[in-house]
Amino acid sequence: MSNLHVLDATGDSETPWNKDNQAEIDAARKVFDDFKRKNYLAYSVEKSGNSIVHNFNPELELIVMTPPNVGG
Amino acid sequence: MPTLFNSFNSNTTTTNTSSTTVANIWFLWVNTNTVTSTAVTNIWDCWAQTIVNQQLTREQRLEFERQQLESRARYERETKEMAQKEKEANERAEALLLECLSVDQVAEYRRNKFFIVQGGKSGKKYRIRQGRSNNIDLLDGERITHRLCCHPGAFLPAPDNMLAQKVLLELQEEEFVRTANIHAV
Repeated sequence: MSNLHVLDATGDSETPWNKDNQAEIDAARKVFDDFKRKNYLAYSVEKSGNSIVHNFNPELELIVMTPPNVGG
Repeated sequence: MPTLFNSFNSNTTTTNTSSTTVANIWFLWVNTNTVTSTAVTNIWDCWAQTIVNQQLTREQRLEFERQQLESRARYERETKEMAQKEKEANERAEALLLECLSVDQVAEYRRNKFFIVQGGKSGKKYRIRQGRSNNIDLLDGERITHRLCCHPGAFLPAPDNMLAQKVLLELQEEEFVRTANIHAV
């Protein structure tokens, strides 16, 4: 089971998907695209190393999306 | 008049200031006093109205006090609920942060509430302390050379904030440094 975490004030909201379930993949892709349009940054967090995610990839295990950054 | 006053005094004494009797005498006196009855009636009305006003004010005061108590109870209930939600959000955020940290970083975070991250581009070491802003130290060995402030624009629990800073430093260090407010120490 893979998971998309969008960071927010509640901690984060999760959208899990199973790679064999197209409906779940589509739902996760929709959330991903919605937040990308809001300029959220997406990162894949894997044991082998982290990477920036530009497009939703259902093969990834864990995607974290964060709100855009500002300087303090 | 002297007779009436005597009657009044006599009655109040003998009936032990029975309110009904006193009121009857008062009405008797008002109704039989032909010279000043109008003025006395006005005074009576005015006095009666004052009593009514005082009663209304007391009722209003009681209502106000009831509303105050309700408001205070609601405030305390909402404050408690907010604290609980904040605690749950923090626990949730911390669980995700720990999932994304290396074994060493987890140990350091548990021990000191900070962890060290290596900049993806420069290889420099940054210490991310628990917090939301102005919580990143650029290290030269053990020495802090600069403090950086760059964080997600939306409100996030502190561990979420630290996670966002970590991945950005590892993957987009140049952008992080370009956005950050930097102070030499």
